[in-house]
Amino acid sequence: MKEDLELVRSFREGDEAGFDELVRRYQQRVYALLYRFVRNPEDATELAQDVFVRAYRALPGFQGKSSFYTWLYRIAVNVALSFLRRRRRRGATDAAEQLDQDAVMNLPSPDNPARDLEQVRLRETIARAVDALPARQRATFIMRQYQQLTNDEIAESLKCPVGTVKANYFFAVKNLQQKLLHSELAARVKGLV
Amino acid sequence: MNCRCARPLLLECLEERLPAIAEVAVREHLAACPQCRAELELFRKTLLLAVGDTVPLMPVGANVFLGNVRRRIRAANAPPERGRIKTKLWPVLAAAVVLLAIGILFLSRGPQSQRSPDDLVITGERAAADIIDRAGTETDLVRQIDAQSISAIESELADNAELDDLIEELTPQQQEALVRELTRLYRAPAKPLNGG
Repeated sequence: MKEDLELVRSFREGDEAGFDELVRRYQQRVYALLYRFVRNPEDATELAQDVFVRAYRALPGFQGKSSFYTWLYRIAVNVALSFLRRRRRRGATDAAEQLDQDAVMNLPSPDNPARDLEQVRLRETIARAVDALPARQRATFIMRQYQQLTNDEIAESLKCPVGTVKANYFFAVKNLQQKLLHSELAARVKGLV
Repeated sequence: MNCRCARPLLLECLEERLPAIAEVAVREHLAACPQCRAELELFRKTLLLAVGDTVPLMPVGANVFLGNVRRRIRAANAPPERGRIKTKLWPVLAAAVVLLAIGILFLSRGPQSQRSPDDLVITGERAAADIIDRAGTETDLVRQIDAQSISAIESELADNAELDDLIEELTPQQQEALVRELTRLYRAPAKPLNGG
């Protein structure tokens, strides 16, 4: 399998298939990253496509100083934050309303309604807690916890020092802890083995 | 190691990201400190809960996704879409933003530059300030704003989501007016220092 930078190089030399391979390789990860921000599969898919269109246009200027995917993640985080700002300005469906929609979509199954309902509520609570984090903490938490990026990679993506990444992650988890502990699920958190 | 030193390292310790020496020190502290052990346990439970937050499947398949990306790239390149205007706009915009900001910072403030969008000026000022910091005279300044600098700024602007948003919000007529205005500014001869 070709390395990312090889594909970038061949794309820049005119081989469009190189770009297609990069899209195939990263579409799921970019979608998952964006979903964590926008909490809507359709919006996340649209934005993921937007990320690759931007990447296509910007690739000729990509200097290869960082890895391709940290560069791509940087575009994705910018796209996500920009989308959230636009959504706030428009006053359109916010993340909390979206979560309510998700809850409707995830109605409990007839097999074990109590357990499923509990899982739905748990997901909602966690999602609300993550959504309520400040933007930088949220981006850092998502990239580290869900995308398994290293501190160095996150620092490259967010263009900030590694120390800032560590601090943001620490405070993100502390904030989440506070929010979860004060939520209706406090008892469940404390009871987890 | 005391609690004050250990606590910021607990998360790293939990995720096994600490260097070996630091990890040994934190573990030794944990063995002797029930408060920090409780804190570590809370971190563990919080992260355990967060892991349970799953992502639904992407609504379209991989090939459909790629097809959509390709279609949008084609659409962005087809005249007279806004994307084409934007693509054409970048080189002029990048150069003009720098010149505009220099005009604001060093030269007389003409009425034309005051009509530019505020956000654009702020972005330009930042870019120009970096260059100006490194340049002592106008001659040095002009030398530095060569094709390479403009290309670097253009690349930076291409990733600038906020600027992109700003342009997205303009109507096609406003975009064209902006292109005309920036092109005019770009082509205008620079005024001498202290000359106006």
